[in-house]
Amino acid sequence: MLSDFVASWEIFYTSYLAGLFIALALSLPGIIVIARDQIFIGAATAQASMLGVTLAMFIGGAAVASLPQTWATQPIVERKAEPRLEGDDALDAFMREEGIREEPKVHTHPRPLEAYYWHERLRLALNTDGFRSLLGASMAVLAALLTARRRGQEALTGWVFLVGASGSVLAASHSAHGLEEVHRLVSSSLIGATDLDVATFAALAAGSVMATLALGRRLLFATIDPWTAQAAGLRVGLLAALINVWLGLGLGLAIKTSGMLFSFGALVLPALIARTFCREVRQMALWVPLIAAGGALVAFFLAHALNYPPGQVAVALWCLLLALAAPASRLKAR
Amino acid sequence: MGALIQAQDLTLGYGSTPVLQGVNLTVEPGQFWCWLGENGAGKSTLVKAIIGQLKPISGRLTRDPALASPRCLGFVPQRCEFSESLPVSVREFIDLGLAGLGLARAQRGERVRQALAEVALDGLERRDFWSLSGGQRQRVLVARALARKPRLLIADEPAANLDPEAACSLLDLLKARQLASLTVILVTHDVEGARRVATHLARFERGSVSVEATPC
Repeated sequence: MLSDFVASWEIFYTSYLAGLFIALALSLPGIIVIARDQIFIGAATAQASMLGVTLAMFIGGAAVASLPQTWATQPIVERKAEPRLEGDDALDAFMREEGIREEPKVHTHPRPLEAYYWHERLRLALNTDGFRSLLGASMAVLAALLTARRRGQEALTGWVFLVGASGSVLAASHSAHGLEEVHRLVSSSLIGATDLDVATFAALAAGSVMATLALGRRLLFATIDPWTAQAAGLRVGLLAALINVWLGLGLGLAIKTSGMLFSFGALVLPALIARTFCREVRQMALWVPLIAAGGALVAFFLAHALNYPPGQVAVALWCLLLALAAPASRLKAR
Repeated sequence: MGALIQAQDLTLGYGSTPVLQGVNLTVEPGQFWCWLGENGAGKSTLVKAIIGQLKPISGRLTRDPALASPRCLGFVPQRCEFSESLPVSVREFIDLGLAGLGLARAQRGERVRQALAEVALDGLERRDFWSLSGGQRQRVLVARALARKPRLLIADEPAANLDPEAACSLLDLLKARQLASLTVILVTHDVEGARRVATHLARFERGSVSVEATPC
């Protein structure tokens, strides 16, 4: 069974690695989310990111529809002038006179080629995964900054969640495969992650670890007692903005690759599990990445062995661990 | 030694709306100030100005150059509002208050032990913060402020949620620190307690401040 999993690594390594790095990158900011008691903000931010991704699909589709039909349908290669050989002009003239060949389209194109390429490139750019990730991350950062400013913002958080949920379905309704994409983003699928995804989330995971090492105590102080932290000279507003941007960026980029379920689960579940048995937040900062990455790895193995989707298995496993850890912790406390 | 805090014809407020007008007071080293007044009278507004979070609308607020560094300022809030389910030990809680001072772990550990001894909570380092009684938690807040070794300690209604016995004990603790040369500003509603410990009283009423000395 293990050898099968190892053998599958060659095929699915991008999915496994992307999942591991996403779990690592999101689980550490999850400690701050738990400390703030703002778990629902994670869900709202993830939902806002989904809205960004589907809006990008909508914009990409609209860009295609708004271009002239010939531009949108004819491949670029047809519009390029073919190499001319010596004597071709005379041959063309003779053939046209005889009615054998029509006027070549490339010579009658009414617009400058540069303009044609500019529009075509824009259309292609608006239909790339990069554009979708960018808009998804931007919406997530905006949502995180909007909702996490202070405690007691449940109404605003709920509003962001509902706008994200309804808007993403509406934006995707009229685009080709749009609702399929929404379904995929909600239910999570790690299959299809690319090398670029792996590199991106490895960088994010490294950033999360370094930020925790360098700023962890300041971030926690500013989170649990902002008034005193400010009096102590910490730049509380800047630290809060840093957390929110990082949270939005991580969730926003992860949604496109791993979907909402896995991203939200990786954000809050490892921290919730660690909270049940750790005696200090400092211990949580050690356990959370272990639970996140270890749980994800075990889940990927189980998913491969039992032929289930890996993202859902990981979330189910973390949920099971939480369900077991909470009563065990209470028993121990007695 | 010069004044730690000097307010001259100070007007403070939010936006262009003044909350306090024409405030004149001088806080000298070693004094124990109690600021009395109803909610909304402007006590916390003046605290915000002293710790640098609010700029005066007019007048002057001068701080001793040593207080320009937040390292020399200790602050005790009314309460802490973080999630009770977050596992934070007493040691970790006080240690967090030392963030930004650039101390090594061993130095921080020593300061935590000293601060807990000063508030008579030795041996509770490993206890969960939320497992303590209300009075003990307030003492931990004071210990966190003392661990910074401040020249000025500002306590914003630290006894507001305590029973009379715990409140009295907390005031005694602050008085003991003042007698050991710490300057204290205590924001409180407890007039009797304030008269017992303060060297100076400031009454905040209808946007102005009146100052009186006490026999302490």
